[in-house]
Amino acid sequence: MSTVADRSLGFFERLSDRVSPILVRELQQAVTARAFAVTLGVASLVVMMMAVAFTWTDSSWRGGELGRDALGWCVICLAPIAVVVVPLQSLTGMRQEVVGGTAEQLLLTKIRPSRVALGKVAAGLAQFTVYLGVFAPLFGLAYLLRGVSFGSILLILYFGVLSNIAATAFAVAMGSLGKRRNQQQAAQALASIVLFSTSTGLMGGGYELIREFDQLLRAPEFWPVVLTVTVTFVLGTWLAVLVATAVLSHPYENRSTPFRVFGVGALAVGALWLLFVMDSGNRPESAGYLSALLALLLFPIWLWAPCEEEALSPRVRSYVPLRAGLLVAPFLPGGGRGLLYAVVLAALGVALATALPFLSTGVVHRSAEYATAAWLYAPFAGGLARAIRGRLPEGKRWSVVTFTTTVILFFVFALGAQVVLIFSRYASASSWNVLHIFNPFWTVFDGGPGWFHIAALVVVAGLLLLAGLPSIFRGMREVARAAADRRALVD
Amino acid sequence: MTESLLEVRNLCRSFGSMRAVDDVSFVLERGRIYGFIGPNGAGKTTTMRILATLDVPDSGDAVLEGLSVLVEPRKVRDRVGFMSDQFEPYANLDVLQYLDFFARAYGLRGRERIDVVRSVASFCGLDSFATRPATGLSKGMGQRLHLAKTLLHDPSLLILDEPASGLDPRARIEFRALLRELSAAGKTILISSHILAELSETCDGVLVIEQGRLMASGKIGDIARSVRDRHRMRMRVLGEVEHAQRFLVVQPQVHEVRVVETSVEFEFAGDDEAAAELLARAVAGGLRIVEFVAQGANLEEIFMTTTRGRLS
Repeated sequence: MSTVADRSLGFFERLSDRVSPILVRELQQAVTARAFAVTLGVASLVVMMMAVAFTWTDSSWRGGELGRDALGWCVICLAPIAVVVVPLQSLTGMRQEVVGGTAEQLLLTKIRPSRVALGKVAAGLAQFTVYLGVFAPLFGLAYLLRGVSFGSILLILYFGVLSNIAATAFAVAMGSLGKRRNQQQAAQALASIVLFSTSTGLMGGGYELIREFDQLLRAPEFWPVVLTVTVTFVLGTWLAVLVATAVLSHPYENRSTPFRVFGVGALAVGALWLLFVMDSGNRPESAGYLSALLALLLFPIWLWAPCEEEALSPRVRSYVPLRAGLLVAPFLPGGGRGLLYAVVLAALGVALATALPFLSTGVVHRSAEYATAAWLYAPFAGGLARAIRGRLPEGKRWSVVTFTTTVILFFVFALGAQVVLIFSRYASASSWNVLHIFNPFWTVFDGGPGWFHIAALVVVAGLLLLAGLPSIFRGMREVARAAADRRALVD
Repeated sequence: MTESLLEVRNLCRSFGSMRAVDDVSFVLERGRIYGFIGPNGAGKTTTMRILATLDVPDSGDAVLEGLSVLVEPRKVRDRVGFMSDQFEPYANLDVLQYLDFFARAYGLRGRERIDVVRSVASFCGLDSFATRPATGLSKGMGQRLHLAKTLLHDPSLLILDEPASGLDPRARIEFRALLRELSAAGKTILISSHILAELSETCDGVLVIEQGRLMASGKIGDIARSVRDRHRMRMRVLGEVEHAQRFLVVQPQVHEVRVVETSVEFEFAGDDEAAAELLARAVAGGLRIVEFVAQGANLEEIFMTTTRGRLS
């Protein structure tokens, strides 16, 4: 039996001096796991069988599209590996670390939770690359058999890698969720459903996908489409990593700032996309719809921010930047600062829909009304949430209660408004009434809000904001004090 | 004079309406082993987690080598090794790979990392287990691996939560020897355990906690004296032990005298000065004394006296 003294460090131990230790450890575990060897063996066998089958098939069969068939089989085989096998392995690993307490032990080291999540995503990608290597002969054969271009193969590989990264990040996030066993099982079940259905969709549409990729390669929209898909995958991955990071961090650590930065980051990416991907003719219209869509997608972030507890935790207070000012404060945790954040985000969202197209093309499309109305719900709902939260005791669970109550209130008012209008006042559902301000869906989607409707929203949001002003000021003052305390410590 | 390493000041931590840690203050000195005892749910683990920066107090603070666990948790983590009661090593990694991963996680690189992993593994007696799967170790060896992982970054304070739980007698004895070596190397150790007899043999000091409150702290002997007004003493004599018994029963501050083989055991209510006088009188009275000792402090007795079996 070898001893510690005579055991030389292997490739992986040497590698961990240069790359993430999480990545190295995941790979070490994977290569020694029986499941990996079995899957790899099965994949190699399948590749060999398909290669033999396609080589022996008459090339005139299927109208000379044998190469496309081979590529289609590559997609069918690789899709479950990219979005099910590798991600579920990451999910299981993450869950075991959380349940077994290793995730907490890692918090005591120099590895930050974000590195844990990113390391797992990187390990997933490394594993997928190995599988791609196994399938490489089949890709080569598909090209040689004709019927597919080199560009199509590259595009499939590119989207395969993107899908794998996003699916693994999603799986890692789901694997980290849940404190109780039933919550963990629910998260795992949800992840499995999403990943399996995505895989099934990709497998079913494999041939169609190749045809569309062929067309896309020749289309003028090639780069816009590729960039749009890439940006969407990157944002999705970023969000999933943030979720995993937040869950792995302790509750008293700063879990808000990354999400708040993500909100602004998503708007910035949207602005860049409009400026550099979208042509100027369609930019004003796209700006409005994109901004409205972002208002809807980012709603958990801008609504959660005002629902948080008002005070900074002792741990976060000790991390407040020394020169914390107005620019930093909205990004720090706390409900008062969260309300300010909601206002800032809404202002940026409205600017994306109006100022950006106006400054770059001189035109503001009517879709900007939708965006403005949608974003006005941020200070509106935020002000309401802050008013509720201020009346509840301290404690994280009351923040959850506030968030849920605010969402429920909106649904109740939305339904109530419809009922009052239709049954009591016999008014047409399409005529706007002040009650509709409680109904974001009606206001935004039913015939367009119009500037009068927006003015009404501004008034209500303004009143709620006025009520929330003391909380905002308290939040700002707390940050200023914490920064001063830290400066005093440093000096 | 020993140097203080950790100062805990008025630590409080509540979970809802339950006060898990209630105004706890104590000081740990460098190079000493401290037992942390209390009933289940007394607040031991919560206190330990706060000291390890895994939890934050509602009020109060703990300062380790001048660093607050609240203000500078990252620096504190460099100085604390926390061995939780939960240990589930990674599958498909051997012992050395497991330690190497954590060494890298603690920021060790290159030659230094290799040397540290080897020396820590050797210290913990894992030499011949280097290539064994980390998940395939016995409970005792698993605890050694857990301890080895905790030592990788050379912490000055070791916080061990129930490390001896589930170990067989041999593993316990070996583990205890490891702790003594660590203490001799200058490490301060705070160890919680339900096996009080074992703690009394290992620890220099003890902290007794119940319902989140620190009921007693200090050296075992000092606490024993503070919680009861009598010490149990033993006198071994040559010749007639009954003669010694007759002598003792009439002495002031002496109670409950009984003969045990060639010795006489009794409760003594006096201080060290009175004990010296008693010994002098016994010698003058013609007793041929070969042993006159205060019985070793009994941690179980301290525990039962200072706690009331209440849970938070």
